[in-house]
Amino acid sequence: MKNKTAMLFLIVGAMTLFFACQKDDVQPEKQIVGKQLPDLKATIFRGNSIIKSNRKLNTAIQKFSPKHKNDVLQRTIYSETYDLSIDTTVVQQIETSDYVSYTFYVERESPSSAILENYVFTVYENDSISQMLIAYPIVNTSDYITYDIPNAMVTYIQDDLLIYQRSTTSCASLMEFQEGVCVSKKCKDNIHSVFSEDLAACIWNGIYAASYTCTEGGWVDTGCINHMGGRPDGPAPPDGSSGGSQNDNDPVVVVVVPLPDPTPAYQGILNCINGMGGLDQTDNTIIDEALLASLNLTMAQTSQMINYLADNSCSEQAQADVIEELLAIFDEQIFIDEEFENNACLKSVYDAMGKASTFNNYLKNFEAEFSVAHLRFSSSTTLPSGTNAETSAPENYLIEITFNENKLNRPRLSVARTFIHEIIHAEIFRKLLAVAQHPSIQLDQNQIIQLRNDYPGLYDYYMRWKWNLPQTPSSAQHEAMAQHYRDIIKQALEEYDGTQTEMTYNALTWIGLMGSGTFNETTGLYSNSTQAWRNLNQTERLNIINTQNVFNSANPNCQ
Amino acid sequence: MYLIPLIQIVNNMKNLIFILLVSSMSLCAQKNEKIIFQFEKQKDWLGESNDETIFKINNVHSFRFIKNKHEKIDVKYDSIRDNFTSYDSFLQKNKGKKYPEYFNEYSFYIFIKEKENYGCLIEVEKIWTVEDKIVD
Repeated sequence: MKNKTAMLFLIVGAMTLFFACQKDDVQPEKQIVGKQLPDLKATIFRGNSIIKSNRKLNTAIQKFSPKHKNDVLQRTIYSETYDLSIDTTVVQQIETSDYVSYTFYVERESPSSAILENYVFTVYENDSISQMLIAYPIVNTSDYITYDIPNAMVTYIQDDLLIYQRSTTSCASLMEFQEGVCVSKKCKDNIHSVFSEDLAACIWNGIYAASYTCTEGGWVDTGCINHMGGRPDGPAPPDGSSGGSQNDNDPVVVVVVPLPDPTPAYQGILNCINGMGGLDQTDNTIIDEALLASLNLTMAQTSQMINYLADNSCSEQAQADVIEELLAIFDEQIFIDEEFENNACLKSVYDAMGKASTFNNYLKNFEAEFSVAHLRFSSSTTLPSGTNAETSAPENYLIEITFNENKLNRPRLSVARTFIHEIIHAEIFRKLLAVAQHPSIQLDQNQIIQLRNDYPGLYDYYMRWKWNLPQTPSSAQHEAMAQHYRDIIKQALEEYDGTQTEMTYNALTWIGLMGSGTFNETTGLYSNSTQAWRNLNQTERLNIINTQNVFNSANPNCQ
Repeated sequence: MYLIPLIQIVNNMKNLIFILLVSSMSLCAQKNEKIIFQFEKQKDWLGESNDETIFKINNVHSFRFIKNKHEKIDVKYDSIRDNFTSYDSFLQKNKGKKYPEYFNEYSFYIFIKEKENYGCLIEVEKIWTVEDKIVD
């Protein structure tokens, strides 16, 4: 079913090719770096726009390029002295009150796979400048690349054509982003953890009780690294200092962040499939680069595909095989929008929820190769103020969950509650879509009978609250969830954070399932309360609402 | 002077074609009772995609026209106006019968009036849709 997205994949690719010529090469495409540095403004510019618009940077880089003094728009700029080129397609700018630094990726004719080289050009507040080459040892894993930042080597460079800022007292302070870490501490009996079903058997309290805590992670300054007198694989820069007005007694610490090779690892796949195949090829199939990038292929997957294409001389059959593999991966994707990814609260709760089995089992239903639906997580700042999140019914096999970024000023467990609540909606949509066998949920006579046979509960609720009503329908899913899904929600919340009381979990499960409309503080009812909420007596309802309020006020907000 | 007889011949042919089309649709429908809803812009809804059109009677009850599966014909309004049914009447008529099986007993049509005395009669099938956005 989901392979129908293949057509979409290729059509979008073709459209991109068609419109590609409209791209303006020097148009600044500004994007904020995913994780903001503290007290710094870190920005990545694409293209040469930043160089062109910055006179000082432009002048310095022209000097760096004696062979091409008048052309700053070429992709790379070459330095004869150091026998290296700077890739100018991506510039990372870090701005502080003391200086602005620009980081470029360094290319060499014979690149070393063991190090990442960056060129950092810094303009200080007093208009002096400095230039550094930084070599980061590469740490390879099968899935991703990291850099051994504490062992990076910094070299201040100069030649006759460069304005050199000596700096024996300045240093590069290397920043490293460290992920949050979750630690599950067992009960003092060394048997029970917060995830144990019989956690109640742990008799220890306080610091001896089982616990599960997570650090938030963030940017960590790994400290000042003294510059080196030479480079391991290139000519040593001249010694001494010239010019500059940095005061030795008042060192300026330049913060640098590794800028990886801007050429995507998957470029080899694009080169073969989108146009550099053999002469005998007649196939016009192309892959949209943005979609390929969205697949987040691992290093192992990318290498395997590039090697396969190369081994088969980029034949049409090899291309077809790789496209089929890409489509299979595409089908298994859960899409996460950039805004969602960059929201620390949403991303950290999502990641932690993914480690809890109940939530993860739901996610897996959308990852399976033959799943009928795609799932997309996104966030927005324009949802109505009273909305925590919304889940849209599938269109073209895609179900979208959108979180309200303005409603994250509540405890993390409350945000986790929204996650499990929304993914249950998505799961119900997925089941309906599986019966419909259509890009959206349209059930004919036979399928509605099949739904009655396969999912009698869903059939019952949709009939009672939506389809078989002459009047405006109610929320069939909320009615069903209030009656039948609260135990699942409770279980997911306990897996996420096992430190709350039974009463709190129970109260949290009701959020979003009590009803909608005007709230009556006396009765605890909404003008359009769910049947399950109505079935509770007034005291029970008011107690639950009170517990929710106490929980919200007693716990720190996620954002 | 030959114009009036010519118009009469054309009208007669139109009626003949209409009878033939309705007959063929009736045959295909295997003698199911015909239920015809008149589409009203004020309270009904329709949406079109490439090869199908979704109608929502009273903005709730969904029916689907599929190109190459269902028929569309021009029909005289006067010839069909007495056969219109409201959805509430249809439900009332089937009260007590097994839901949704009783939909099998009928062939469904939607009539959209286009000109003063003509409109389009569209063969459709009952479907049950879910396209809402759930807000929490």
